[in-house]
Amino acid sequence: MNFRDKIRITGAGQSAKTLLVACAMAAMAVAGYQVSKKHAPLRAGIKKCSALMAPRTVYAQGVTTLWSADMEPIPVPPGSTSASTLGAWYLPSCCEGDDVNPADPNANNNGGGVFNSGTASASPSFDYNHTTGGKYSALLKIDTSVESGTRLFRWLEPGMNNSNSDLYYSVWYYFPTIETPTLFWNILQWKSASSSTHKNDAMFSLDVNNRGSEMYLYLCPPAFINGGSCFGQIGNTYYIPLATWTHVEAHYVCAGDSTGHVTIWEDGNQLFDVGNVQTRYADGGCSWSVNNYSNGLTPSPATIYVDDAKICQGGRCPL
Amino acid sequence: MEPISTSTGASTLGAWYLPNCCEGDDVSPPDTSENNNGGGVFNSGTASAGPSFDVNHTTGGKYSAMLKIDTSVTSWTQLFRWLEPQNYPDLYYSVWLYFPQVYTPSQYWAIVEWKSSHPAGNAPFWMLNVSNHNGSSGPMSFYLWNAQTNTTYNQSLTTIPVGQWTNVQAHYVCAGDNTGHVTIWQDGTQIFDLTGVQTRYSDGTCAWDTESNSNGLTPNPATIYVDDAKICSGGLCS
Repeated sequence: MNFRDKIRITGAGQSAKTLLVACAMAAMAVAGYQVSKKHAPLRAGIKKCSALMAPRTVYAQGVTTLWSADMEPIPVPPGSTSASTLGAWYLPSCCEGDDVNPADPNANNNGGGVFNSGTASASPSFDYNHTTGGKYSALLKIDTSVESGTRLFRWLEPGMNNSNSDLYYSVWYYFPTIETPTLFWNILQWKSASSSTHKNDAMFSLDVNNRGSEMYLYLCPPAFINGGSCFGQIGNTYYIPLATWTHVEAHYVCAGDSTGHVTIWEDGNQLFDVGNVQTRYADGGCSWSVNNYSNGLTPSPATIYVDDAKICQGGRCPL
Repeated sequence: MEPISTSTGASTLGAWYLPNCCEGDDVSPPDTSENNNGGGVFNSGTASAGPSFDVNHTTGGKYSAMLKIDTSVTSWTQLFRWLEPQNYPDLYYSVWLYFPQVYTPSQYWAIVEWKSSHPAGNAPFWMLNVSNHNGSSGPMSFYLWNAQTNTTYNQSLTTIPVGQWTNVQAHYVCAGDNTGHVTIWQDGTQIFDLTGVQTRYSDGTCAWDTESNSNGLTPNPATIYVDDAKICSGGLCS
């Protein structure tokens, strides 16, 4: 059995002892090699070993954080004496403040922005904070007596590689109260704007519903996938913890054909894994937003908090 | 505090930065030369300013500015304008304020101030502060404080209504000698009128802000709302 075969076996769920041996052997093998592209499978095996054996922080060493927003004041523009709490959403340029639709990806060299519709607001808040050593999160509040939404957008990174990006997303949510949606409650989405039809629609969205006064996430595709029917969670329902921070992560492969992929985790539990799907319009871009968006919530107004958002490449974002 | 059009969208608090817009919610110190801004939003300590639809004063509007501070440390959030006060020394100011409940300052709580900057530093001159009548749980009222001479001017003509909007107007003549003038009205009642006073450094600028600024409030955190701020020349703002 060569080293590569050994690593394949470890991926199939071998014992910890076998795993350790395999990983040690693979490490020795790498040490004896001039690591190059032709040994990519071996390197991938080492990475897998690391993922299985090492703490998340170690695994994250192979991950690049492309962008992050911890909702703490950051200098804007970089090097400036002024700072903005929600400014990271606009980088590399900053900021128009709390903007109203339509989002304009070409405006002011912004990589994203804050967009409201209906009766909605996004603002810095020190009510709750997730960032270690920090003070602030983003307070997203909507009044659903009319359909309303507030959205923290990024389009720079999702639009990478000609909108064929393969990226990992991470964001922390705080739900202070139980809300009951009458129809939908969208808290995260990927959108695509078609250059031919000029339609700008949600592709996959992460929505909240509740059952027996416990809230949970479900995943909704665009109308051209699964007939638009939403996906339920894999296995037992994971309910959203109330009045504490909950961590939502996603792997989103943005593709204009059926090579896209959507995986969602909450607090480390994989809730959805949808492969071989179209995740943007064929002639469309790719953007991502964290939202509080609904046409009916009880009670209303409804407030949620968001903190420590990240977009990463190469694997799940470091904690 | 309704969304105003900028070159690419709209911003609810954007008017405070005009003619340029916006760095968002900034941290002190304000830099009057930066980015061609005419003002801005500045926070210190644990504080936030943001658009809110909790209460609104504007007819047909939705939003006000929510100013919230946690005074477990000295904190302030300030909505600043320096463009007009620098260019026009004799101006009228108007702002609507909403106090959702009675707060008790342990030492001070500033709501409106005029500041002056000169080569040696940047300091407040006149401040409209809040205190309580008849002990700590009594109704709130405004008093005027000369920060340069540490002189307090009290009044008993008005109190601050809770759970409704109240209008504060001011006439401020910005002068580096004793030719300045400060007059304050609350809901049309003149509550202070100080003439022959210095209202900026002799070699200094003039800036105005509405704020929530305190080193101790009970209950804490404390929230107030601000709406329909105006700066006018030639007479009281309509």
